[in-house]
Amino acid sequence: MSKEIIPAGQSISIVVLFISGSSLFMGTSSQSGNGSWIAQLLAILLAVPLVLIYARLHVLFPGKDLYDMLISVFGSVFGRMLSCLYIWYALHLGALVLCNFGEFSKTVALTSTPMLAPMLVIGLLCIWVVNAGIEVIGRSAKFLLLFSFIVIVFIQLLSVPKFEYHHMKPMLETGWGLVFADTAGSFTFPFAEIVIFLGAFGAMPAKGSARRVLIGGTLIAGLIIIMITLRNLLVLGPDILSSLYFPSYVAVSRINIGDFLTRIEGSAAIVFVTALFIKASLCLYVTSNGVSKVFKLKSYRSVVLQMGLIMVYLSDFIYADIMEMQSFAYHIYKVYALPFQVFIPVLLWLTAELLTRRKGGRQGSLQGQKQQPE
Amino acid sequence: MKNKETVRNNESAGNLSANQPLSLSLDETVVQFKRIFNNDGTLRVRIIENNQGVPVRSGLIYVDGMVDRNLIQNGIVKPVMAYECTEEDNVDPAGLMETLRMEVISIADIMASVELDELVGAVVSGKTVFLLDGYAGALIIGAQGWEIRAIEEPTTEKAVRGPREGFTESLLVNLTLIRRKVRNSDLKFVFTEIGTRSKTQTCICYMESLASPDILKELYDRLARVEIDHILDTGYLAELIRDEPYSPFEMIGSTERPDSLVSKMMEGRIGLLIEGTPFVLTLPYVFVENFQASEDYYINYYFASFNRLLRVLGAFMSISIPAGYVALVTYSQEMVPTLLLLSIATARQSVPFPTIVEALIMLTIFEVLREAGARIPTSIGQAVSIVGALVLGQAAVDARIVSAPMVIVVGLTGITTLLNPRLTGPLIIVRLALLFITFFLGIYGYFFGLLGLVIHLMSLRSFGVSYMLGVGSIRPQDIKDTAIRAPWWDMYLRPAIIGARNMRRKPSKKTAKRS
Repeated sequence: MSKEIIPAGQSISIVVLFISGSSLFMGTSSQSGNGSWIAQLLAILLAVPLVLIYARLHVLFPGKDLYDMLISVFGSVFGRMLSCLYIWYALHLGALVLCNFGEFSKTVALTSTPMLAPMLVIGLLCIWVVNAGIEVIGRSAKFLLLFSFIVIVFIQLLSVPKFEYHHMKPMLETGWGLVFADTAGSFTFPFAEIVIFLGAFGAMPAKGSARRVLIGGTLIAGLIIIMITLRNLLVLGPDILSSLYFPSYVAVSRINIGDFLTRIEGSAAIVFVTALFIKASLCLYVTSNGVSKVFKLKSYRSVVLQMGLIMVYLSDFIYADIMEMQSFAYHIYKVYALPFQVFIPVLLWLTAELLTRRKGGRQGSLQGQKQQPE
Repeated sequence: MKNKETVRNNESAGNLSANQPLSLSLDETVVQFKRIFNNDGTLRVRIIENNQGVPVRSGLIYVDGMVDRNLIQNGIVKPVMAYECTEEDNVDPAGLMETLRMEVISIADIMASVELDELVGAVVSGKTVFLLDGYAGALIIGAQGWEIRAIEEPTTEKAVRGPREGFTESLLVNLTLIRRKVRNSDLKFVFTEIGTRSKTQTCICYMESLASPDILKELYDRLARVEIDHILDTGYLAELIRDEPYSPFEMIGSTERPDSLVSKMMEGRIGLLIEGTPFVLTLPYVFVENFQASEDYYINYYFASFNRLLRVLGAFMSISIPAGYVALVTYSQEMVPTLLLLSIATARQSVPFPTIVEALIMLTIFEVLREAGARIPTSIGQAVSIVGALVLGQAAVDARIVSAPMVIVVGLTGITTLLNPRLTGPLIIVRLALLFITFFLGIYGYFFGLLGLVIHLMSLRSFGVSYMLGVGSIRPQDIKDTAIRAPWWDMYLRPAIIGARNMRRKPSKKTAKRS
């Protein structure tokens, strides 16, 4: 079977939907009240250098994904151990995303349906799309992003009459401390989660610009997230905002155009579903890809179904309730995710640069190209 | 087992007779033919005895009903009878045959052959075989003639404006219709035979400088793999060579209009015609072609784009209306404006069934009416509409078996389906699937269903071309002929990938600069 390749436009779409996925309806970490949008801006600024490092990895190892990089840099044993960590990270993140949706449906959407039912359906959709291949994820993402973007802008415009600008004042009433705490939160969730995409680098064209994809995707997603944070803040105000589990959902429900267009949050939820679906699918793809790389399977497709079902099941019992999920997402996650998002990739990058330099003197070729004749 | 054996026996018997060499004697050859066409009452053998000079015997073999009798009478029988045979001719039958072929028989299509199976093949396809006593060879004379349907306006793809010709059942007439529109030697017709028993003539036609060689090669490969004993319509072939055999969506286009086929060939697509059906396959096929009608290209582009958008909207509504209604009424009542909700609730008050059952009953009835309307003779068509509209619609509402809103929902669904005749089948299936999942998970189920549809459509490929080519793209060039139809002066490139071999439609300097 020929190698799957996704063009830059589709990768950007995946990145955008991946990053903005959870934030679209979970909202973002908002201890800082009306300063949260500043926290988002800072988080984007912080994410840019990290993303550049990720992109540099693609230049160092063209056509290889995270697992290939780890194994070729850290050796067969240690590299595989680190790969296992990433498999766990991707699986866990996918389960978290599914769990978000499960809690969402249990809390507001389908209150008397067991949480597992919608999660299982969306999990099966993910299994289906991952089985169909990363190309199908890419094409779907491109179409869905276009569609979601139209819906988001449309809802943004409809919300304008409900904006109350006094919610913005006084600026930074909570002080810089909480803003920085929020920055850290938003940096790890959602921006730096894009480290997962490293696991799909194998599907990027070897000569393609990962920098363009990652930076473009991060900035577009950042724009969407800031738009949504501002909208939620202006419609709901900082006090209500911090007390809600799903602020976007509530903010949309406030829209009322001429007593006719009211309570459209149900139809707006299609955007949440879409973005979550892409996010969970990418996690599932990266998980399966990792398993196939670590255990040297011929194709990741043989483990998609198993990993997908494990993911769904994991999401069912991982948290006892929505409060636990909330506290993990906003307080524990930023510490938990740091090694995966920052430490290991930076270590990988430094080692790879070092190795390249050392070998570069002799052969003038990159690590990745050297590996190819094998 | 027994069947298999008889098949093998038949085949071996056929082979034996076909492999026999032609005999020198006319009578023996005639006997051979009669043995092969045993129990076939349409075989005609005419022995011509010429006594103008030296006596010479010759014979004609043809199948009655498939030849033009006048042509045989005036072009073969008369001149052969009038020919004065000389002594030389009698000594050299090969020379006589050559003289007859070159100078006597006055028919354009004529060819010599010495192989019996070729002769038999010629006879069954309507040609006439001319034999000469004392010579182990024959002439195959093309004097076919049979009744064919006149060229009429195609009934399945009507257009208010544009050419009124439609394909007919005759392959040659169809090829003429194409050739008349493209007077260019770049247009290629490649013939093959498909069907081990029916030996149906099949023609692949394409523009050599436009069609992608990869797609063409793939098509040849797939046709070579086809194993079937007969084909009566291109539908057989479409199912045998399509990608994604389990998808409800058509992966190969079909049309009855020569103009539509030519416009598709001009975009680099390939046409596939067979003898005996007016429906022509076009491939590769992409999703947006379902929404295209040939008339779109002949009328004002604003109006054409509007019609296209209506069709897209129609397809979307036709899958969404029943599911959306069920979701709104049973799960997300808050999304319905209060007054409307009240009137729906009032209408539903005395209906004993759950909404889903109501929806299924009415949708099934609608499909029954549709199918009945398509099958029954036109003369009693009125009865169906009366029964459908009055008895099942009005009376069912009055009797409180279904609610009035449901009748509206099903009516709208039906009408919107009719906007896209090419999508009728897939739409019905998708609609039911969405209806069921919505019934279980409300509006979220509907979203999941739509996502599933997107995944399915995005994973389809027709001859290596993505089925959703251009959908979701924001490049202007990609959307010029999709949900809208851009004006002709702006469509200067062919669709990507399909027309990749020669992208530019118009090689002027202006377009070169703009692209």
